[in-house]
This record gives sequence, structure tokens and C-alpha cells, in this order.
Amino acid sequence: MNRLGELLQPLIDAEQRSPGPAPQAVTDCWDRIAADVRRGSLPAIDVPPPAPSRSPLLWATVIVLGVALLGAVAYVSRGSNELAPSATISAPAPFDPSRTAPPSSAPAVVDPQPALQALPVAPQPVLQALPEEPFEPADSASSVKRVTRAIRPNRTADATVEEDTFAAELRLLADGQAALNRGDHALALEIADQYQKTYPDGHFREERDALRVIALCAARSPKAAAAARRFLRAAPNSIHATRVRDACAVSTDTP
Amino acid sequence: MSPAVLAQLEALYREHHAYVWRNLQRLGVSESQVADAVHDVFLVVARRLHEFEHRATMRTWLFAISFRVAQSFHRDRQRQAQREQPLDDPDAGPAPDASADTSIMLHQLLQRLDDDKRAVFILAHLEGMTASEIATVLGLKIPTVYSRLRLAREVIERALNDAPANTQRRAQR
Repeated sequence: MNRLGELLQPLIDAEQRSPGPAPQAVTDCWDRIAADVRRGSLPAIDVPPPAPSRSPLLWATVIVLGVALLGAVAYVSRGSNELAPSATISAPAPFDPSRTAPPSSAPAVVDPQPALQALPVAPQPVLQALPEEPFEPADSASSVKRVTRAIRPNRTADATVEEDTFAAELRLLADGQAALNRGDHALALEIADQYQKTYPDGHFREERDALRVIALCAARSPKAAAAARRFLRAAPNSIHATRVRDACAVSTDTP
Repeated sequence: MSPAVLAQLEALYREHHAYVWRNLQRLGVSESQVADAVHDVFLVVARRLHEFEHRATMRTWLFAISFRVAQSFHRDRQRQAQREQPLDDPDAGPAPDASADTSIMLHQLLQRLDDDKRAVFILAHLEGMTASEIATVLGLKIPTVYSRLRLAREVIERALNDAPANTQRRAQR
């Protein structure tokens, strides 16, 4: 368990054990609600209508689209073909404008990202189409070259757009997620390693670890189950814990 | 409102009032005001219930409403405080109180965060939502969720590290 989790978990447990409102307070509160509803005195506080639930996997699609936008901006700004060699890694995914139209039944108010709402949830690319043999990076040397090209900061004199570190980290992880979605697990692992080397104190260390574990599980690496258990023990409250459990079919209870 | 809808509302209240109550406390609504805030949340539910199409989970919707109601209470409290006395440094927050029970200490820790970071932290660490779900509930972009979560973690971890050791031992009992 990570440091924050260790410190926080007892407090969360204690809150769960705390008694909550007294039964009489609950009843009194309902009586007031019912009386106000019958009188029609409803508050003016505005809230969004209920938002549709989304698959936990949709974030990957969102990040890939973010990469598409970043890639487009970088390409236009640099005005060169430097991105072309790394297109297999960081080029924007094909963008179909017709997919961005929200469905007619979608709420018009709540969703700040209507273009994303209409996108189909990306199918989880793991586990189904993978070979049974243990994971071996087939072409790790070329993968490293591709990764290096993809993440090397553009230091040319004509570079006019400097990404801040946050955006660069996000783009790198999005590259990793995109590789994972394509089924290129070796590349996803390389990118996770590259992130660790480039940003040892990066903002998204937990996301990097989740990417690595899910890629290992997707590739059916013999190291996968142990890595997943380590991740879940270290970060049981991680927002990626469910994805790791789903991808790796393990829990912290599994020996 | 028809009796059938009122009955539906009551069923929702019975099922979710504890969830709403707990999250309003986490969101910084004071003990003396939390019953009023729960009341307001469910009046909003009554007003908007006809729009609920079961495409969202009821809890995510209730959290979104609770977040806005809590913000409304905070604004009222700030206006009242401005009338009565100058505001304290909002970043300082109360120090974790070793004499308080542990659930109060959790809420005190959460008060170290501003409204936006607090909501993201609660949803991620206490409600176990994914970044995508948090972005949906709060109407944020996913990078914003990650950014706020990182900052919130730093604040909470720093506060926990500064908390008296006996406070943490009490929590573990």
C-alpha cells in the first residue's frame, strides 16, 4: 500500500464505522421534504440533469482524442515532417467527424464534452486475441527507437510551441494507452519504461504503473499476476484498481 | 406531485439519505447544517426526478447535486462570515484534532482542500470512481481531474504526515 493509502485507510474505515444520522433526524428530514414537496416549494439551486454513465474504459478513448488534438497542434506549429517517422506511435487516431455528433437522446446540458459522449466505448483489446505463449517483446530494439522518436522533445530552433511537462507526460501515457488499445503490448510496456526513465517523479506514476500492469496482463506475461497483486496492494484505492482487476482477473486477496 | 412520485422519492430517500448525508459532511457542510442540506438535495431530486432515465447511476447524480448544494451552503457561510468578521486564511484549514473522533478528522482533513479538489478527491479515494466517471459527475476534462487529484493528494498527504501520531493510532483502533 502506498504512503497515502496507508495513512488514509484507517480514517476511511473509521468513517464507515461511524454511526451516521440519528433515526429521528432521518425521519424529521423526510417529513420536511415531503411537506415542501406537497406545497410545491422546491429550491432554485440548479443542477445538471442526470448524466449517462460511462464505461471506465472510455477515458482511454478520451485521452487518445486528446493526443489527436495535441498532435495536430504540434504538427501545425512545427510545420515539419518530424512527426512522420513516429506516426505509428503518436500520430492522432483517425478522426471521424460523424462520430462526434451527440445522439439525439443525449442530454444537452450536462455533458461538457458532447463530442466524446457519442463515441462508442472502445472494446477492451486485452486477453482475447493474444497468443498463449509467455510474453516476449518481439522487436524491442525497434520499439525503443520508435518510442524514443515519439517522445524526444523537439529542440529545433523553429520550435515555437513548448509543451509543459504535464502535457508531455500526458501525451506519453496516452501513447502507451493507444498502443495498448491497438494490442501492441510490447510498445505499451516500452512506453511505461520510457516514462519511468524520463519522468521518475512524474505526475502520473500511478497511471504508468497501471499501464504497465495491464499491458503485462494483456500480453499474458508470466509476471503479470504478481505485478497486478503488487499494484493492488500498493494502491488499493487507486482509480485504476478496477481496471487492473478486470484486466488481470486478480484481487488483493489472491495469494 | 402525484402520490406515486412522492412514494418513489421517499424510497430514494430511504435508500440514499445516508450516502447523501455522509458526502455532504465530506464536502464540508457543517454538522449543524447537514440536515438542511440533505433536505435541499432531495428537493432538487424531486424537481428533476422526471428527467432521470436510469442511464446514470443514482448515486453519481446525487453526488453532483450534493456538490452544488454544498457549494451553495459554503457561499452562504462565507457571506455570513464576511459580515461578521474577516475570513481566516482559507488555505490554512483546521489542524487535525486529536481529541475529535476519527470520522471528524477525515472531514477536517478534507477541509484542507478547496471545493473543487475536495470533490475530486472524495470521488476518487472515498467513492472509488474512475477518472472518466469523475469527469462526468463534475463536468470536467480528464486532465483536469488528474491535475486536481494530484494536488489534492499532495495536500492530504502533507496534512496526514503532520498529524499527531496518536491521532493516527486512534483511527486504527
